[in-house]
Amino acid sequence: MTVKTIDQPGTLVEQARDLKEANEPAISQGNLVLAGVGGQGIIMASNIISLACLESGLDVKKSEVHGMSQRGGTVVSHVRFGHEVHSVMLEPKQAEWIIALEWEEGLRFLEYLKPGGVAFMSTERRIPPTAFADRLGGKIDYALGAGVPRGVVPVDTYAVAGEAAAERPVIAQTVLLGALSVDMGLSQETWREAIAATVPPKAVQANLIAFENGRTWYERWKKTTGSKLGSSVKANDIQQPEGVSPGVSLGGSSNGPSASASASVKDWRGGAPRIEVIRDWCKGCNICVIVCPERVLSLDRFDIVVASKPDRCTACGLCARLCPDMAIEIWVDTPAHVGTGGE
Amino acid sequence: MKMAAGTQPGNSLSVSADAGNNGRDGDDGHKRPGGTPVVAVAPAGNGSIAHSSHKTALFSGNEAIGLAAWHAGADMAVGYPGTPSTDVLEYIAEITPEPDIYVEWSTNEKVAMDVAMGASLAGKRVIVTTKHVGLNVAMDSLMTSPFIGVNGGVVVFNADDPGMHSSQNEQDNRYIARFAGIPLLEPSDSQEAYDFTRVGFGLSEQWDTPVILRTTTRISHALSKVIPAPAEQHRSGEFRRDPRKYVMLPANARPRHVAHLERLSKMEKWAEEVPFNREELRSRSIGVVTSGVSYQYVRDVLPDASVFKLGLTFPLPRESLTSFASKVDRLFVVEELEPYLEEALRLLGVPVEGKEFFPRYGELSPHLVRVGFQAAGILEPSGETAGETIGGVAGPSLDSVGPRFPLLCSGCSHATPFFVLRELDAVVTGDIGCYTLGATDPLSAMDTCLSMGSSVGMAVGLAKAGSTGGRPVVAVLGDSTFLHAGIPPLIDAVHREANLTVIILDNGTTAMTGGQPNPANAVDIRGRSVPKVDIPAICKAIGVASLAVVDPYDVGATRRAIENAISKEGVSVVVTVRACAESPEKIRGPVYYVDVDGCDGCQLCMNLGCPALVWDLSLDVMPKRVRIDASLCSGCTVCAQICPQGAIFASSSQSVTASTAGAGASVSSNQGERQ
Repeated sequence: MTVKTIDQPGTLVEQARDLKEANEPAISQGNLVLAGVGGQGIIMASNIISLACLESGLDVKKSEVHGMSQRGGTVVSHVRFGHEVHSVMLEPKQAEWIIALEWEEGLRFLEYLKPGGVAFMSTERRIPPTAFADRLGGKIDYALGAGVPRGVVPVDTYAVAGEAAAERPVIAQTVLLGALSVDMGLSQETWREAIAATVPPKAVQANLIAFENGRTWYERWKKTTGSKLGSSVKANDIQQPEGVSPGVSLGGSSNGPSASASASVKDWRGGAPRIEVIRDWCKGCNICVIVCPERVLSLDRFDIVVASKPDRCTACGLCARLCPDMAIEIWVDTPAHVGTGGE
Repeated sequence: MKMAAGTQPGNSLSVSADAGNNGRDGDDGHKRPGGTPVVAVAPAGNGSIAHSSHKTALFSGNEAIGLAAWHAGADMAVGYPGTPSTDVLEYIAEITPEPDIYVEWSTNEKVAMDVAMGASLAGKRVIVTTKHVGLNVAMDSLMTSPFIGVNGGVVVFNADDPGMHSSQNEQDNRYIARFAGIPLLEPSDSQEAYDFTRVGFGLSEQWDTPVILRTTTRISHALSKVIPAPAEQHRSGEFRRDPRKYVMLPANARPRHVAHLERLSKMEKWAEEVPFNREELRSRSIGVVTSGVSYQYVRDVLPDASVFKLGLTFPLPRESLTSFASKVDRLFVVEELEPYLEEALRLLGVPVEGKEFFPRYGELSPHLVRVGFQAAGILEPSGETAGETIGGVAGPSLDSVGPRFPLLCSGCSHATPFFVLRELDAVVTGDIGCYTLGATDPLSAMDTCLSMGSSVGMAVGLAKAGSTGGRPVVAVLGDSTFLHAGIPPLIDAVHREANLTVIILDNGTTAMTGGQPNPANAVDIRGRSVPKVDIPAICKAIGVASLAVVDPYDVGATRRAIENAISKEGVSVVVTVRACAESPEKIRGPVYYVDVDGCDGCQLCMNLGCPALVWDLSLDVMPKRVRIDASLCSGCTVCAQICPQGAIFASSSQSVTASTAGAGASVSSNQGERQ
């Protein structure tokens, strides 16, 4: 992916105007960290920023890692601009801005935020499948908490994008870039050209709308909510401008669980499920061993099923229900047992 | 302005249209002596950048290398995909018109190196691209290549991966250059990547040896500005017989070794004068010897320190380095991975500090360089305390941020074979590719991963050892990996009558590196139709008696095929054939959903590790019910096939045939819905 310069014939006047502007960029140096999940468009967003800076006459360097990160892993990009940039990589507490397309990825890289910096973080949550490993306890290995650290501006990108959000894959990033553009300076036209030169041609219009909506949303947010905020920001303190969906809504994406979901899970039993095998009835057909999702069961040396890894049982009752000889019962420490071959 | 058209990255239309003339005639404002060494000094100050802003663009290091190879008049670009080196060839194929450069994804790196040497002897300039471990595969030819020498220049581009972002080790290939006695260039940004590549071809011809151009991930995948130089014409030349130089019989090789050593001593003198090495004298109290991306970190962290910046790291300019050492009070080496430069300085008898402050593993960062200089007493400790809250005030602590590992994509055709292997409790030797992720939770169905093609050879060893506790031995590798290095060990397995099963996961592409075509595909890197290598036919020709080809989206058939193969004595092969869901095209069928009333929370489907299968957090029940994230579901039908409750349905009206609540293996697949 290359950031292209805009060199269309017939735009010499525009170029001249750009160059004039370029001599007086609103901001002369800065550092950004962009983070998200593989496939979200982090690299495209950082390309847009880099191109906007380059077109404004600034030196730019940008670094990112691809490869395995594309497979649903973390993707992070560092962008540095100024009159002369050496390292492409930032140190912690050096970034004036953070752009996060996923909430937890924003938290992960928040250590890079400079005191006084702003982190524009999408409230979209993508909980990785590995976070669901605790099938017994139901604990989610993911930062679901609703606390909003200082410096973070939570943005429900799809709500802010409005009708432009129909083209989801390349929209969330331009909403955040719109908000960023309010603080970062550079001419509006430069931003728009950078977007037009970077996103797929058929998505240009929608992205420009999303950019504009992001920009408008953040300007209003600053006037209303931002000015009211004290040093400690809590999610509930953030008031959204009228007519705009609440930026902190955690249900913005299709994968958005409510923040309280994990906290309200009831303690469903005292201990692990109990697996009872009626040895006389088992003929060692092996069906339960094959179907057990957690591989709890195995056959012993007499070809009779035993619970070799009972701590992994989630009490789904599948083995009990599929046992042709009704030789298995699963008990949990609640009034009713979950499954039995006798039912 | 003509040059601008030829240097517009990605603007393939204008490049294709103009490349034959404008892109190559070199009539351009940035006059540089073509083919002679160019020191990478970007025009200073803001004004010149603005002046050139419509000619200059941001390039990744890899793109700059690809562009430079084209501008250097290279006739051929060959390599094997491997992060972070892959995009050089892809970029060349993207920006150049077809007749201009022959581009080839070779079967493996050794093949690429040999193709390059052949073309070089025919007078052509060639770039070879590999990742660091890829160069190991090419070593056999690489080691003897300086004996044979070149006719057209050969640049071997090698991308190291400190930090192992996408690699199985982090070997430091600077030692390979020293081992082979091949000149080594190390750029520190995209402009140098461009310049050094241009220069590399000339150096190769000047010294009659291939030249290694080494980057690291932070050079290859970082973007910075590049001002291109005028392009050169293709080199004219043809193959002429010279058996004493080209045929490495012992009698010929002996004098060539002597000539090689004589050249080395000449190159050492030349290294003192090359413009890619430079002494930057500032404060005399601290001097730093460094190269590559570490140079940039040093400039950021210690802007006042004197620096000896090496662009040529083999052979090293010993006299210049000794002289630099004498000018500073305290001398440091800042380098990633091995103490390559540090050892060389110690051999010169120069007191130097380095690896006691900077780690010998992983990649450096400005932060690590700062910490190192703090430990050395050069910088004041920053006084930060551990356990600070993020963002300055109380919020979610970093401890609560869970890990996010790479995963097999939704709809990945590799999931089913691993799902089956997990149930069969086989000893699984894995290989290099996306499917290495079969080792991770929840599939957890891979026991080894060593190097390209090693799955089959290791399986032979395990099977012959015969001490796997009665568990069957299964080797798993992809189509491209099989062709790369899996065939010789399969020959070994058949010839030695090893009792094992090989599963070849044929998804029709080299997926891990972004979907490059391989010899089992009917297209090449430029999209042309090419003859396709038939993997099952290769297995048959080798003498594999039990061979099955199966669709991995058909869970039952896959299970039966693998079970059957394992039950066979001798070598059995199962080829699973199903296109990658992401490349070259994103494949999406009807989205599936979970019937909340039908799901009993057994979570068997979640053992597939599909990113689209998540917990339904709207339901306050235990165990958790499963929900399918519609934005991620590819419609592959596999979860619907294995659901024991038959509770997963296509969002369109027709339901899946997963009605039999029983062993998932008995359920038929529903491939027809695949678009």
